Amino acid sequence: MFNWKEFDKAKEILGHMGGSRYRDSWGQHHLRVRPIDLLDWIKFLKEDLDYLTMTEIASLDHGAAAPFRFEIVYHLLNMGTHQRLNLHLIVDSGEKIPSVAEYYPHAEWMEREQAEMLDLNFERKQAPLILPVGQLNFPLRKDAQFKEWPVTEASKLPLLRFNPNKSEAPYPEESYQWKRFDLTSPETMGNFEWLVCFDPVKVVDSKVQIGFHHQGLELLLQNKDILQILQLADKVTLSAAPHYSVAWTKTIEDMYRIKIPERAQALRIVFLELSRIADHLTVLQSICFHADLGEYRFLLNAREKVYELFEKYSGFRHGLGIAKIGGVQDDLPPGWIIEYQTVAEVLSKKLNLIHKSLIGQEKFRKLLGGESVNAQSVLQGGVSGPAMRAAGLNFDLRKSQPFYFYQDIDFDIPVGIHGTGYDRYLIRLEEIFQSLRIITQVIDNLPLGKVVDEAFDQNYLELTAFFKRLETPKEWHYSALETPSGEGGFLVQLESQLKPSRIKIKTPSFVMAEALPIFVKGLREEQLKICLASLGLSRWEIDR
Amino acid sequence: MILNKKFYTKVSYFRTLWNQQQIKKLAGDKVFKAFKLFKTEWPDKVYFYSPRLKRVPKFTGDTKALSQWKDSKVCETLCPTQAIKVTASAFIIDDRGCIACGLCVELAPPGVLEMTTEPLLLHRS
Repeated sequence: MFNWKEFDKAKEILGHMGGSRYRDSWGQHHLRVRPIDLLDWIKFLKEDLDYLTMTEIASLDHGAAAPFRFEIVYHLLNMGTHQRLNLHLIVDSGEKIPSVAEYYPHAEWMEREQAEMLDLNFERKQAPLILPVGQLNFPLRKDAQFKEWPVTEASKLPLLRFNPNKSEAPYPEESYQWKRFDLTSPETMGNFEWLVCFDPVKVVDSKVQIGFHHQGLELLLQNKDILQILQLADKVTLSAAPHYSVAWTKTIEDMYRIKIPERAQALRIVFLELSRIADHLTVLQSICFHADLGEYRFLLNAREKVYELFEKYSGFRHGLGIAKIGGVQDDLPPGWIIEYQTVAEVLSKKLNLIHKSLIGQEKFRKLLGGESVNAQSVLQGGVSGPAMRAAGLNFDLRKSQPFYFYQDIDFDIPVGIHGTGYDRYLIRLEEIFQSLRIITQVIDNLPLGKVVDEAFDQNYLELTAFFKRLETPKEWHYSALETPSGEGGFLVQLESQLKPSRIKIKTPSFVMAEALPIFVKGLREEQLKICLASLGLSRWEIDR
Repeated sequence: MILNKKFYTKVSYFRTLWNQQQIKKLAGDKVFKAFKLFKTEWPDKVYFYSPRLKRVPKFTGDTKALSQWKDSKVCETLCPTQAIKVTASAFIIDDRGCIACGLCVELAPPGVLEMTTEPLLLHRS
């Protein structure tokens, strides 16, 4: 639960320290910092105020005319009191920015991503993460040109960007071997390029190279309206489509302080949990498929029944087009609830059968097992979701920062011990039962009333006229949901009432890909693809 | 929070054999057979519930109503994928770009645009 007493205490301390540079809005602290003081502040915040993890870094270009050109936001999270802090850094072009990777090791990829998108000068300089080597054009700058794509050196994209030479490889022992897995090899499942070091049998170390699937979604969304983005926001991933569309509407509703009717809140919870079930079923299916077990067919068909439920509501199979600003698109069609009850009954009966037959097989247990993963190393990696809960950390956004009706609903959060793939499998399975429990409780007490607020039940032109009468919110705002594979959401700043100046999409898979060496250590070669499958990575979330 | 040791159950060898036999029977179950039906009978018969978005927007051909509609040019900028072109006598929707979000149909006066059940024609110029 959100702790307002602790919030006030931290507010006093930060207000005293920061003076006029401190501000609070909607339960989030905002603090402006100079680059010289940045590391001192972060050391103080991490060690004395318990801001143990950082969720996201985003940066904004104000244009050449502004007194300070760039603004960078570090979004910190307190694991004890679940409060969030936005650390604003104001930087001129070409000014040196200290690297935060000392205190938050998983910030390294985020810094590299921002550096190559906006030509920022971080102290720890490394090769670009996503874009080609030797580029001269920076896509998120205001003066970027998109007619050409000038590159100084010859493009090195088809080759591996780090070579397993003796100078680069940290293990000079002769028995250690580096193996390379392509985009096309089954071990990586089309996500990235992967270099893995074996001591000939078990994995010692690994390196990941991403940047093969360019969606350019952040850039694309920045040129659209708020209302148009709503139609595109659920295309971040198909497996968690309702989560991202609801996250987008929730950020806008938080910024403008809009209250949505109770029936819409309840329906949103129903579809969020349904999509969580569908995503977990795909993950369990891919585990079984890569382990050569025949049960994957039944899991696929079970997922198909969930997709049918989506289709009967909105017409799309993956749960697209559900949320709308001020509510949801439609009321439930007649007969939908009975359909759901039959599906829930079938799922809860037959999943138990499948689970028990899987557990009994020695092959399944051996392939999913491995060395245990330390909870502290997972926290250092910034991982969230089932992979984090499997390691023993008790953290779920539905419990820690409950929105809508989640605080009135009775449900549990499963927590593992060892953090292996086997634990991740068990947690995903238990979460399916828990979200069935949530949906039945919501549907039993479904509130009456309208599905959309009256002010928002209008067409596009009337809605734009409505928004232009409101005040534009000044500060950045971040709001997140618990998506099936971790914390996901949007970090938004608005230019005018309808146009955003910067949108940063927070996805769980990006951080998980960086933290892969933690999960892979000590596995054998045939276990690699099953470990990847149990993490539930999605390639559209990894790349930008 | 659920006690974590609850998950780690053991299943005996004979019990798993019995379970696997039960699972083989599931293949004959009607509930799990629906997957094949979907592919064969797309799109007319299966989608009996919601006619709302399984359909694609289409111009009815009523040029009079189109000429009387003042905001018809707005649709070009309104469409999130820029799939619409409006001329004096035609309202062209590119099927490759259309994501069936329904913004244009909401805005249009009755008689100009319709949601049709025709499948997408990907090769239309």
